[in-house]
Amino acid sequence: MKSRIIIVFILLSVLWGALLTRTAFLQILPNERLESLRKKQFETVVTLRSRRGDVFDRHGHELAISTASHSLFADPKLLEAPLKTARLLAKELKLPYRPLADRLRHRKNRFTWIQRHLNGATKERIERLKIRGLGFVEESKRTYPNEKLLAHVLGFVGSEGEGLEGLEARYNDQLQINKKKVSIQRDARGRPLIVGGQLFTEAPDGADVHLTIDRELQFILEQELKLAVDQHQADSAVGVILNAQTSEVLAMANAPSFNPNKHGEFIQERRRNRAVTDAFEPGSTMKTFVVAGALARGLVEPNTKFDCEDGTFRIGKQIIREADEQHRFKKLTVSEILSYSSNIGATKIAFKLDSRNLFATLSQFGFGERTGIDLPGEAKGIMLPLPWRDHLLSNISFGHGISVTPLQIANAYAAIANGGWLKRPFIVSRIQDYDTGEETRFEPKTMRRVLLPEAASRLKLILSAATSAEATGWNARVVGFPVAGKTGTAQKVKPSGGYYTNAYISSFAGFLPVNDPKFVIYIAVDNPKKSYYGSQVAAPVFSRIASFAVRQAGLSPVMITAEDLVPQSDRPFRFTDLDTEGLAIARKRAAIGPLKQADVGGVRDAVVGAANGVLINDVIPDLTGLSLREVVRRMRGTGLLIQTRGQGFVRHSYPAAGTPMSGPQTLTVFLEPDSRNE
Amino acid sequence: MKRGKWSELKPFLSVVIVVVTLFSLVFFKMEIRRIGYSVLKLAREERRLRDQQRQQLVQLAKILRPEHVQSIAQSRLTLKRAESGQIIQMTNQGIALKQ
Repeated sequence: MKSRIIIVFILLSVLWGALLTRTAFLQILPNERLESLRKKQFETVVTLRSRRGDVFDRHGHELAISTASHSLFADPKLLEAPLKTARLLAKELKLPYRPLADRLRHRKNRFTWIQRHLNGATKERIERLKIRGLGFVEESKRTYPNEKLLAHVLGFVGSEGEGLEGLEARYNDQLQINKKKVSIQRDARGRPLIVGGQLFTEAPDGADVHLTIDRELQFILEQELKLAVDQHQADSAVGVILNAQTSEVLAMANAPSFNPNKHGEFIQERRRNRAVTDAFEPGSTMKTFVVAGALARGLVEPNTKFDCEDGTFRIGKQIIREADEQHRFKKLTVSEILSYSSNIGATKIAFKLDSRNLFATLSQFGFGERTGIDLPGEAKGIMLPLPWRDHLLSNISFGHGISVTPLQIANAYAAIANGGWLKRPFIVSRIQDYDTGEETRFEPKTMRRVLLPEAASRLKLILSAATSAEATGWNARVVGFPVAGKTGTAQKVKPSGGYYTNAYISSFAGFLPVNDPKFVIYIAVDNPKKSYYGSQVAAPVFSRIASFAVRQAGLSPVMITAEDLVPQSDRPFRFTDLDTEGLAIARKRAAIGPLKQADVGGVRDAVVGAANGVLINDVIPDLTGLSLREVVRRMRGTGLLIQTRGQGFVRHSYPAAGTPMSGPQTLTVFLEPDSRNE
Repeated sequence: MKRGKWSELKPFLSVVIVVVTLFSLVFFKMEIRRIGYSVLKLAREERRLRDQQRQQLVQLAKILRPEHVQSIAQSRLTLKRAESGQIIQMTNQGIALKQ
């Protein structure tokens, strides 16, 4: 018996020993097959989502935003009732029933997209239907809330979220963090478990990109370009606004534009940012740089005269004429050559400068090379290498035989505006890491000096004369602000060679205010049909945009003529325009002091301004306590003859404050020294 | 307590301590798991709210876009685009300029 017990014990011990050995073998020794089985059972691979960074303008307005979206797919093999599912989904997603049903009936197909980029609410509605065989994939959706605004600069992203054009492509690496996949432990229901205090749900987001663009200025530029295209039946228009001192891009637009939210609906031709990708012959806006080269080398002075040959100048077999054949200039100064845009005058200056020096000048101003702006697809233009024949030199002097981009011209004018420094234009001011807040700032970068300050100052004066009365740039003027600039009217080049006889590019390049330049604006209108001179087509557009820009920047006018002031007859508001209640309140308040907004109640707000300012002329205002200088200033333009009695500050007046005025009359003010100073 | 009785209780207490320790370990493990699920749920909720907030940000940006504001001004408030000569700029010196 005892021996049997021992045998059983030994057998059991051996069995247990074998089990323990096997357990130790499984648990301790590495085994690839078992490891993969374990991973399959207890671990899951999760793709961590990462949001693409946003794009903002200089004031923090959103230009491109990424949001999470849900894309719905189906596995037709798992669908129990494909036709019923198609009917339900067609109703819910407002999709056509027939094509959807066709797709869902194909049971051999294991995957088909139903609709991509659905919002959370729609996803929840579909989930409530509890249809087996449907599933969602979380994706990122790029939205451009301003639609067409800045479309050419921003570009767009592809269906997989990668930047395809514009800034989206240029800064794709910063905006987009590559998708990360991590292996985490899961429970029996597939839910991720916290291990070591870490729960992986999201990866770091892409960085936010802040631009130098001003959204309001961009909007005005786009509107004006669109208006110009419509008004002149042009093919397209392009505009660039730079900060005159730093060359940062404040606005850059093309018309017609496109909606990047639906970029697939527009042809590639329309999506191109012509301000940087297209080079064309600029026309007379190039004359400025011929003069710049000659001034810089001391070859001419602003009043140096050139014989403009009465409108016809022969160079070998070619004849050079003025842009307007009716123009037959005899002798013009350098300043007048730019003001009247004389081709022959520019040719004569170019001959004096010679081709080598003109080539050097144009190269210095950045023509024939990329500006280096942080936008993709920049063209460098075409500037033929030396030697130049006389005819080519002549053509280049008035902007033919050379191709430049709008940005190159704007940047070259910025060099004149800022006193002679060529700077690298840039459009991204900073890139900010969303999670850590770390910033990479982009500062203005000076490339080289292209003009001495004295030459730049003289050129600015010459260019400001080009927008004076009778000069070609007259339509570009802005009331109160001296404008320096130059018109351009260039014949369009045929792709097959030669020029179209009736197709032009009308342009204007300039900056303001001349005394302290803030904005450089370049406008070009391609193939306008109704009129084609730069002075008629592009200059008025420049004027309207520049006028808005200076008002928005809060700049104070520096050049005021009597004509610019609002005349009496144009006064927008009079007390007699008010309703009875408003009139009574205004008269009462005018007698005892300036109106306050709260006092007028329902009366139009505008009346407050009228009652407080120089526009009061229906009643004598309260002038008590004012100095004589202040009285004169305040009563300027009212038509009253002011008489004074005494010295110091106004004690009272005759007629008294609040007395209605009836036509021209005399106002006597009684002054006394201020008792507070005694 | 008598020495003899204390000696009798010792094995029982040891078992109790071992059992309580084991139960505590299991309890804490379960608590960690439970809190883990709560954190996961809250993380998902936070993500949902963040998504919602971004959706609203998009809506707000769309509403405030200059083109939309202009169209509202023109269609609902019957305002018109100011033309040359209709804009009056007040300077710092109180002078009214026609733009």
